[in-house]
Amino acid sequence: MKPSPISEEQEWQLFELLEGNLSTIEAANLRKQIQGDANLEAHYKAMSHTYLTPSDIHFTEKELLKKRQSKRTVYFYTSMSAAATIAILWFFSANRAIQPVVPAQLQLTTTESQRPPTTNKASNPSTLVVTTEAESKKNAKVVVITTSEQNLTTTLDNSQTVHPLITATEPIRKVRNINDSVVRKTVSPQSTASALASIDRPSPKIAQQKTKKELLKSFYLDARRMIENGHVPHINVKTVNNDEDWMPEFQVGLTLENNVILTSFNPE
Amino acid sequence: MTVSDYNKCVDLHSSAIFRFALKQLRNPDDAKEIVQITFEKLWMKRDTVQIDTAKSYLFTTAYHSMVDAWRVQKPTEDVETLSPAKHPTTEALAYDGLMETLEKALSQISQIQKTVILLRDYEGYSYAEIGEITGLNEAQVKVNIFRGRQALKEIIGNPNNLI
Repeated sequence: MKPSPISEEQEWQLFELLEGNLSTIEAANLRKQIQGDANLEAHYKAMSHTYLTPSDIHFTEKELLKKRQSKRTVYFYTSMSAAATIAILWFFSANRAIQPVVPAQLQLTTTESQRPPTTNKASNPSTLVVTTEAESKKNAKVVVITTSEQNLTTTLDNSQTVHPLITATEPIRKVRNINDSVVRKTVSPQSTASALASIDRPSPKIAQQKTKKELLKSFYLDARRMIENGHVPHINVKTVNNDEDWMPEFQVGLTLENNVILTSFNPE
Repeated sequence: MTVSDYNKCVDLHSSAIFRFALKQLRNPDDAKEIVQITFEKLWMKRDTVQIDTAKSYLFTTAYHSMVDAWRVQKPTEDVETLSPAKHPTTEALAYDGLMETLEKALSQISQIQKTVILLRDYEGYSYAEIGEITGLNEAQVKVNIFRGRQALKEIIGNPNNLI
């Protein structure tokens, strides 16, 4: 049996009650009124049935909406790491008999990063400048390597042992590292005079002119020389852009234990 | 908003947007298109939309996309203009569950009433939030919800038969 109509005001009251807009006292009074009026109660129940409950509908094509991010980074990193590991292990086993290269006559001093390379050049004509990239960029320092034919010891002011590979690989590192704030100099300990002649600061264009093949070769040679000297190189792969595109740019670096960057390049 | 945030929004809200659009349009393909358009707009605006406001942005965008769709479609009849013969009879509805009956009744009320009721019931939005999405003020939202429920009550028929 259909209930008899109720006034608009009563409908509003029922609506306000169901919406939770009434105060506790108002709600209690109205509920009491509803309980005592069957017609009003029928309308109340009918109104309460107009409230929807979320149906179990799911959008099944979420993956199509999603944007890919850095998946290739993971794949690339994994493949690069695997390749580097294999190469390192192979070199290590193949070149076990090779004697480590005798480090050049070195005397290292640690200076402040703002120390200009030209000053070193004036006082120590055969100065090599190698930039270190510490984990924290704030603590980055410049290591100055000077060569001396008489001094065969390797020392560092802050009691750190100088890595012989710095010298061992320096002659073959003809490309500028991407991370280097100071351009490397190609100086051979055996030919200081020729090094002096070529001590001029090369233009950054030189690095840009190097082909990817040359960069890879440099990377390969550095890694090989490290193995030959009995050291495990650290392969660092990192993105160099903060773009959120799904294909970021990479930079692969070969570093020593003390975070000296030997070679870095963008494999693209 | 990062790519990760965007993808999180897809996970969190795509079903709700799809449900919202499906209830309005009653066509899964159209609803999917609305979802795609909505998320594409979110992606284009990802630099300005933050993740905490993304849900509101998505519903607003979806609603406006549907309004655009309705404009090119045949105008929907308001419940006031429906003749009693078009209303499902209580007997016919007796075979269906209450929710199914309500779904059918929902398709016969005006678009704006349906929109505000869906946002209110499905998403739990306040009157003010619904107002932001639909461009109505709070009072208009409340009146539309009331009128919509009134209409649904009338369409469903005699409440005694539904209990």
